[in-house]
Amino acid sequence: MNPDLLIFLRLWTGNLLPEEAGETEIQRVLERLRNDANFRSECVEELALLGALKIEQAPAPRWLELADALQITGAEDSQKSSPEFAEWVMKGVEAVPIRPQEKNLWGRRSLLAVAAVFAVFLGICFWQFRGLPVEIVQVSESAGVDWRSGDRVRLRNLTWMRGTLGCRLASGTVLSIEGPAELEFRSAMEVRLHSGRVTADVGEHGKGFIIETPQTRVVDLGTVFGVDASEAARTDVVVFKGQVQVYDRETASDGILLNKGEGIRIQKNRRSSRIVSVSDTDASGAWSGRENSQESCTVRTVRDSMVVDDKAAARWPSLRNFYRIVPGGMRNGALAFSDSNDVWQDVPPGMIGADQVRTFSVDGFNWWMNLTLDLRRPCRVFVLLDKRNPAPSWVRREFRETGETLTLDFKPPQAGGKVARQLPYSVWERTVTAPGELILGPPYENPPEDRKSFQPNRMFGVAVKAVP
Amino acid sequence: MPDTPPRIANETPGTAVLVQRILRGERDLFLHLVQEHERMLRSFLASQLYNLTEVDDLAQETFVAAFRDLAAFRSDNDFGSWLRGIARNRLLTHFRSVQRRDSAVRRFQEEVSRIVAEDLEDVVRHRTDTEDQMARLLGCVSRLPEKLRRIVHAGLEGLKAGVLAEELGTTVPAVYQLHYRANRLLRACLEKEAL
Repeated sequence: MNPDLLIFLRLWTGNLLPEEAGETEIQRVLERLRNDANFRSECVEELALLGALKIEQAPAPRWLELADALQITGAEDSQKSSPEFAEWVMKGVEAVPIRPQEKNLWGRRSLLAVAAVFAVFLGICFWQFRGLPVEIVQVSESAGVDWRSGDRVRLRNLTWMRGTLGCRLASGTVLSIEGPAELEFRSAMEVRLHSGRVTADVGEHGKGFIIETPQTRVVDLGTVFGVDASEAARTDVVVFKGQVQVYDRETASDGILLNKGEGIRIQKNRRSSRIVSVSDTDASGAWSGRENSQESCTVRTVRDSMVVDDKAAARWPSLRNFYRIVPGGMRNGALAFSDSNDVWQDVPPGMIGADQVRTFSVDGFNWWMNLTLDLRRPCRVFVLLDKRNPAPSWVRREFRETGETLTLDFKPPQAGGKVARQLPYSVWERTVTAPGELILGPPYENPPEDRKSFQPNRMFGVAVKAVP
Repeated sequence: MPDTPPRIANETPGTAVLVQRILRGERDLFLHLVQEHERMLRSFLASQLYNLTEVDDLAQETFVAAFRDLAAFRSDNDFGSWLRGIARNRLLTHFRSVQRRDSAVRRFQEEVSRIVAEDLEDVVRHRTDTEDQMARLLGCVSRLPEKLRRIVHAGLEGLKAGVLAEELGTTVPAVYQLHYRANRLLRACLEKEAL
């Protein structure tokens, strides 16, 4: 018997504890498992047979637990026989709805068509022949690659030079890759991002999806999130929906939990810092944690007066929130804030298509913070204020109330996606005649003595429209 | 839902037909799919987890998830393979959820699971007659020499190998060696039986 196989099996069955074996030994065995196909094959044969023996010789499954999972009442015997198990399943699934069928996005092209696509591949990217099955869902024209939506290809290592590639893995996770990027498809649940920017939209079966970068290991908890490893010395992680857990690859720390609207920048020296603003850079969902590069967008960057280092971020986790710049994003139904599901409705016609700055609620800091917009060109800046509260003096002094209103559909998490309240917002406008920075004050200027009498102290909304 | 469990016909309809009928409202027919794939699924999970409690928990979660998402199953795909895909995702989530408690062991198991995923799927997929093979396996175990049969019956999980070594008056590595030898005999027996 191969000595490494013995160590492997003892570790795997829990007979030899990792601390007894030692980290070096474990890594050596894992390395051999990765690189030695014969050894891997031997291990797999053993695992498959051990698994089969375990089940064949085990008592019947613990049906009571299944009954619990299925909310079956009256199950008292935990060692029921197999036919009874199936009966319990049937009783249990009676209460389980079958989800409606989603649109099948796997293409119906023949394998020959896919082979032809391979053949005309322009040499901008490459992959190893044996890779993971991937469905192409979007390729930007600028990529210069003859893949089309619906094509099925196999990818292992990918160097994507330019443009955007959208692809769906077998786990249901849709990755949007912005070139230049270099990544390795390790499994349907894991991608190694050597460099570049990727956004992951994780479906039901993709929960637990991992993006690993040189600095971090980002584990999805049911979400849409982005990872940027464009610069060798740092990784940006931003969450657009749901939650992720960010782990340092080199340490065994518990990691950092990021919620919707939050982001973090991890440097090579493992220090973390806040990502102040995230810009949508094109209509395909591409984004950047740096300034907005779209020349047509009036807002280059946004920053506030809160300086957050890793110490402060640990003390005030909410300060991981980012502002989101969405070019042309102001419209009915647009998300109002980066950290909530609230949406704008009844947007005045003159504001439709304006560039939007999605702010976030920073409870406890609102009374002293400032927000600075870096504007590219002359424009009209709109500030949207909760009508239930008095307008701050800086707004009354520097802006003009237009008399128009819009509605905020308030959708707190506990409302399950429904509108809990409709809140009226007033529109204030100011014309800026030259490019440069515009400082906006706090949503209210003094800490309220009686917080209960004050309406929810959410941030104001911001929209900017270029002057023709 | 009828009072009595649905009867299984002598000839089970094909998976595609079953799925269509379940989706049209004959939910009881899911019974066929559970019975057909239960042992394969548990065996697949046991080849990556080994702890029977966890295996059963994940198997049951997988069946419920499969029922819920049955509309997403494509009839030209292999149902067992689809089930294993769901199970694999559940397995990875499971590794994450328990990592804090038992991090070193879990990290090792998770890494092994990730590395062998493709090869293991190949092995399981090529066992086209899984149920027959499982039945033959028990027959082959019964024909093992007594000492080897004792070791195979006991299993290797955790401290069992140590207890067994003491009982047999040998060492833990020797118990693993004997189990390995038993596995080789079992594989040879299975191949012979398949002819």
